[in-house]
Amino acid sequence: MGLDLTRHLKEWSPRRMALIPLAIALFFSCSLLVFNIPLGRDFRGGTLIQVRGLETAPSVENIQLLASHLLGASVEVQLTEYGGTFGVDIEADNRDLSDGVREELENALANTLGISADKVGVYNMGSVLTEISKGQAKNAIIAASIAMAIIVFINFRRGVLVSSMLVSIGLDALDALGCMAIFGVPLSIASVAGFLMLIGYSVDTNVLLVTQVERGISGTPREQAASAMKTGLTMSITTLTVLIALNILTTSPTIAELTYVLIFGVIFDIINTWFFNASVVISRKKRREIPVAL
Amino acid sequence: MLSKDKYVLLTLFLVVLSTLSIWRPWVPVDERAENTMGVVSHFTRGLNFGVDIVGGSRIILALEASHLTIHLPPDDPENKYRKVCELLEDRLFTRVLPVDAEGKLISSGLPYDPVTNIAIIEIGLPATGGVLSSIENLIGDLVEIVKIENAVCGDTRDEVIEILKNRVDPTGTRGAVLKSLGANLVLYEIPELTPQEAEVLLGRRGELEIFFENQRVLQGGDIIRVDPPHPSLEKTNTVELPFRLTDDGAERFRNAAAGKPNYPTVVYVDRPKDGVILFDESILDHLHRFTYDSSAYMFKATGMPSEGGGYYLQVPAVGTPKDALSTDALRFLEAQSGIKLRILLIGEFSQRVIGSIPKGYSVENVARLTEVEDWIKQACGCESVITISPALAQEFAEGKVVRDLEITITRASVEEAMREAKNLRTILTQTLPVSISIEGETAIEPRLGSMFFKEIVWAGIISLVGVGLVIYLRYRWLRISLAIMGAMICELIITLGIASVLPYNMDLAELGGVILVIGTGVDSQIIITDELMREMIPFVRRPSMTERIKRAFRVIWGSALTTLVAMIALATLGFGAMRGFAIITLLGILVSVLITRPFYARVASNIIPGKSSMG
Repeated sequence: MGLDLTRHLKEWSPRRMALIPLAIALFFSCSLLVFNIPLGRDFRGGTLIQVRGLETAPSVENIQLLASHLLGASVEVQLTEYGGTFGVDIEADNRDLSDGVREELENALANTLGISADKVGVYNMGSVLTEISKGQAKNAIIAASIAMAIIVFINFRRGVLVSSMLVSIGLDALDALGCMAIFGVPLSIASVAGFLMLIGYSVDTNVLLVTQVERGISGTPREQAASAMKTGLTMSITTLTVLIALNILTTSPTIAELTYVLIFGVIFDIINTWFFNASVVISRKKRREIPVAL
Repeated sequence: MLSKDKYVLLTLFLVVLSTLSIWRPWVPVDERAENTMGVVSHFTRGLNFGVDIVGGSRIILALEASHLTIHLPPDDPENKYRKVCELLEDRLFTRVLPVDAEGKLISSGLPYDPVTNIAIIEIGLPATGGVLSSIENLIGDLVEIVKIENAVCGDTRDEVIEILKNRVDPTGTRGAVLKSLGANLVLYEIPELTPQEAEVLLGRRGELEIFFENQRVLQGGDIIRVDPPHPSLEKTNTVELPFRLTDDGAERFRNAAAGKPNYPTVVYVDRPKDGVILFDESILDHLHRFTYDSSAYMFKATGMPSEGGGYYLQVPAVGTPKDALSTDALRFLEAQSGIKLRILLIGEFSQRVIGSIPKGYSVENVARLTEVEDWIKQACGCESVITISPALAQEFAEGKVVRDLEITITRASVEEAMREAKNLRTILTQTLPVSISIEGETAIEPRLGSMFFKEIVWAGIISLVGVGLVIYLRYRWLRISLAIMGAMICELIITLGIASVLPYNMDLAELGGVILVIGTGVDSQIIITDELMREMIPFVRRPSMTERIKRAFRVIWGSALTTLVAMIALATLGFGAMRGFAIITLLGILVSVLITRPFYARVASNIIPGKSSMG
């Protein structure tokens, strides 16, 4: 093969390997300071606009275009029906609309749909997560992280290995957060779900690397790592194929937010696992092997 | 060569079973699913779809609470404030909370502004003229009432949302969404149900009271917990609902009931404390166990003198002919006006009667029941009547405090009694701090409709083809690529098959999760394949097949366990907003680790040494 993606594992010094992921992490830490991760509707609420009493079912697409143009934000439009009359519910990300925007919106909708403006209701919509459940969410994430650390520890029981794996997994999350900030992917229940899945995925590749190098039966640690990386890369590419297909082909914000986090995370997981964690694992194994060789 | 292996057989068996469970050709096609999904819906009759795919109901609820602003007199404001709160709590039977000028709950410090002596109190009643006048009657001479307005603080609203979530969708299987709409409004959305069905789930407010000898001895707050109901061993068609009292409550009950065997103990849920019953006099002819006591203005259940001599139903009632309001009834209603706010109608009255009801009352019909006495009990919120067993009365008389008691519910069948008991248990454990009313209700169309469904099907197809291509390019070996893809498809079918027997709705996120199963599941096949293929590299010391498979499984388990924990955490997040997704992912992992991995390991180890020996 002309292109050897595992060359760094065979030739680079561990220090040089670790430098790349750390530089990337530094870049994303800075970007987190510069850009904010926007809070999604799940966390901060939005606006609900209700139109009632329409004689015929209106065109959802037209309303979607009109509303997102007026509000300058992504909107979800839903057709409603009760007792023979139709209506539309528009959910938008903006909150606390100014009176001007509110009036403009009411008039524009009334004009388009041929009804009087008083049939349009505008509400500030709260978050799906109440304060009580936000607390639960925080606990859930903390519990998942602790459980992950315990599982990793039980599996390897060596301080250096466990901490380097945890750092590598943490870097995945940091890089994904940085990407979210740069690309403006909002924090929502869906993106939190993406993070929770990312943890599992990061463990997958990191355990693969450590198991192969620590318990590999033959070859040098570098060869073992390179061999594991081939497996890991295949895994990452298949996962990315599915994630990208889902992300590009569907229009649902929920799936978009979920897959964005995973796409960012899986891409940087390649670097964090096969550069950062590999550098620690390889140098550790080398140090241990010297006395044996003597 | 493979058919002898039990995992291969098991997997194939599960695939057939799952296909049948997803397809269910014997079940009619869901019309709503067909509208969105077209012909695909014919093959997925076993799956339940959510609001995004099949639509549902959306209801706006108003929380009936208000903020009462009062001006405390400068002398001893603290004492006056306490007095006001006590009066409102005891006489209006409502929860009282201090809030600040911005309508936020005051959780510590002075409950009023010490400079202006202004206090704002949240009460669980709507700001109507009737409520205002009864508040004025109660506290008007203690403090100056500045204003009353419909409002609810964020904490109360969150509390109500959490309770309602637990009530309508305790396991998150229905996919209900509840969120605040600012002010006192709450948005409630639920898939598949019609608005009427959705309303039933909301249930009642659930406030419990227990009366003994016509005195209220216990309230909802005295109950620590309610255990699951069980059928009675002694009586037929009867179910017992055990509950435990606080020490304080148990002692109060002991003092009241000591040495009074067979005395009736009357359990009310949502007794209309602000209501008066207006009944059609002609129903009196149909009474057997009840009589009407016209001096007490209450219905009375007759009983033996040795058993406490019966009990009163604790809601004032007055009778009238159904075509004209009698002077006695009018006088009684006028006297009660200001204290009581609602009139509950038992009987069908003429417009003339309704028209002559004094102002300040709202009028409601009590849903008719076939037995007149049940109708009356229903109007009073009288849920059940328990008697104190002689043994228990004896224990009480000996000074024993018994904390564990039971409510007995007898209905036409044990199933009906059980349903009633379960319903009662839900209500007793989750009492709402305020009442709710329905502001608006609509049926909603599928959120993204057929367009989204097509997209997700395409994403699935492209994912399968894409992953297949990557696998083939990596191994350049058709047999192993087909085996990997085969294992992946088996995993997909079994996951969907299990999902089809679970009460979870397939929605946007869940369908996305199904496709992600393709991407994450195939990873384990890759790990196993590579582990097995290492044997084929020359000059390598060759560990046994079992050893290599074991090593592959170690990697797979580590990651699977982590994801399992993460998904359990996700399932609890936001009361199950992404619970369906978490469940699908969990299922995918379990199916993959327990079924398709061992299956694939068997298949692959049969293919791989084959090649190595050939090469």
